[in-house]
Amino acid sequence: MLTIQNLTKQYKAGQPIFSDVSFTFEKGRGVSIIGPNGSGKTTFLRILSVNSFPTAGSVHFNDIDIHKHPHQYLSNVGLVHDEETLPRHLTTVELIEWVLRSRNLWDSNSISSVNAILDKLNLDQRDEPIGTYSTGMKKKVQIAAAFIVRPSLFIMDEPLRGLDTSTRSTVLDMILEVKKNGALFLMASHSMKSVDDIFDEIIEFPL
Amino acid sequence: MSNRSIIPLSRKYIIVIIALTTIFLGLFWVGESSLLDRIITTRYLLLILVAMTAFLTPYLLFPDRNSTLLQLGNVSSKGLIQYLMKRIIKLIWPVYLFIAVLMFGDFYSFDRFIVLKTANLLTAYLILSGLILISITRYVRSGLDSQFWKESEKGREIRKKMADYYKYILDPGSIPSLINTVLITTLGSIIIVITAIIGQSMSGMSVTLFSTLFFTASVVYTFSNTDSTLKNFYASNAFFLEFFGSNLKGEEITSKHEVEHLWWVPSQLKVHVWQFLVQLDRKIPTGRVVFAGHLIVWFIAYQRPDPEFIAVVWILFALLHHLFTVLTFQVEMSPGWLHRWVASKWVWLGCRFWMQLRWVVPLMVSMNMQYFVFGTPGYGVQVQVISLFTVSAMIISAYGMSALNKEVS
Repeated sequence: MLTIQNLTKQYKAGQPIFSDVSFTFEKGRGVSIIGPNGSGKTTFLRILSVNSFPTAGSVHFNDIDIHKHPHQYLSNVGLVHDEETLPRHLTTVELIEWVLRSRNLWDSNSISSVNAILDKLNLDQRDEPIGTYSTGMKKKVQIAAAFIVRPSLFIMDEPLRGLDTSTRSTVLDMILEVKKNGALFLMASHSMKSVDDIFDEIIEFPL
Repeated sequence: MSNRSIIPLSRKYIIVIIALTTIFLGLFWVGESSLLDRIITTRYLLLILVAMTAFLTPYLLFPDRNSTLLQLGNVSSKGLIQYLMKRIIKLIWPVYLFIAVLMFGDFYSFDRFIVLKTANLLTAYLILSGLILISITRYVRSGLDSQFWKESEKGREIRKKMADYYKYILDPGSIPSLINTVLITTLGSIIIVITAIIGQSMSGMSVTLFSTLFFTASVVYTFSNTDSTLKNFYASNAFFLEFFGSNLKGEEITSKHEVEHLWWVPSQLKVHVWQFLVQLDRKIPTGRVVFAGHLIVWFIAYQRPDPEFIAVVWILFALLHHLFTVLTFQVEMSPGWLHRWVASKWVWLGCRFWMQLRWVVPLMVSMNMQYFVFGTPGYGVQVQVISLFTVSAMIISAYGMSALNKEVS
């Protein structure tokens, strides 16, 4: 499903963050990416979400070179980015409507689906501008947007950061459910001790 | 060790392009004009700049993205004022250049009346700079008052009365800003009128002397009571951060656009244009700003200036519409990762371009009405204005697309 071939990334010549890395991830798998700060986890996931380009090597998703056909690839991806930057003047409901409509997934039942996922994540301020939200609330918006488009690949950088205990458990349940349905997910965190039962593979950074 | 500039080369190219465009526009406008025409043109331009300074300053200053850094560095009051001035000048230097071209951009005799031209240029610079200083100072000092009106019982009563009697939802936190806008516009207009009267009844040097006095007064006003400048700045920054982010609760948020209402947008772009329009209208009342712009152009046309003059006013006004597109480049409106995830770069090019096309009809209607009333601008000029508007909309949208690309490379 996702094939990484001889991937190298360096910001300065001769100082690679990682080099010549190769992996293959199949659908229905959970991949945990762990490591200390600055070890390259975010850089790795940014390359997989086409928010960064590799110095060398390639990444293919079902035979699509993701850096040559980013839009085609990203239409299969649910993304929780490392930053919490979101359009501050839109409400959560509007943002999710935008995301769904842009993928032609908006229909008469969408509003109830949006409310259902936001209820699950316990996000009550859904009709207020995102600019008024706390970090954890912004994370919930990203998680809702990533899950509602029903992607086959999830790329999540620290999705649990800033979330309260009950929402963390809800998100982990949601991850287990999509995994059962055949989605591949890659998730980065400083530590995975509390959630290692949902992963099939652990990649430890620095590589 | 040699010094290396941290300004990227592309940024330098953009500066050169802006400078050349400014010079070209200035020469196109006044290249063959007499000294008197130049002085009058500069005066009209100053009137427009006064209104823009009064209205736009808080949008340019707040919320300040570097406020955390300023706090970490524990900058002094004087350092803060210098920082704010640098921020503003970085944005408006083309205006200063444009005024210089208006005065000295002469095809026939660059050095004729050089003393008078220099005196008038100095006058314009002193008035504009003085007004910017006053504007910065007043808006920096307005945060605590704004917070009082927004959060107090008194503010709540005013909001209720406005809603009950005038059916208008006024955010009481905006009252000090409204007062500042009126005060600064009035002050600037009075100063320009006084300089015009002095210019007609006394010598050109008297005008420069008066504007020097005004500038000196504005410097004294700005640097008086600097002990509280930092506190005021942090209070204003905090207020505007909350104001621009959270003032859209309750009644206002319910009056939103519907995607289906955008019948004039192609279906592939519709939802993307929609989200920009929603965001823009919550950040700045775009319709009202453009309407005010049309009023200013009509006010200038009412003075019956030369047809070439009004043609350039229309061109400038048309180009100024693209500031809305520039606003959409901000991270708070267009996070790069989200845009890349949601749509392709070509969609963003088309979307920003199409979004601007909504101003074409008001432009055409207003120009035609003006032609009917005052006999200008003619159809040739109208075609030029619309063509320039359209081409520049495309160029600016393409810049947004390339910036999105550049972010990842």
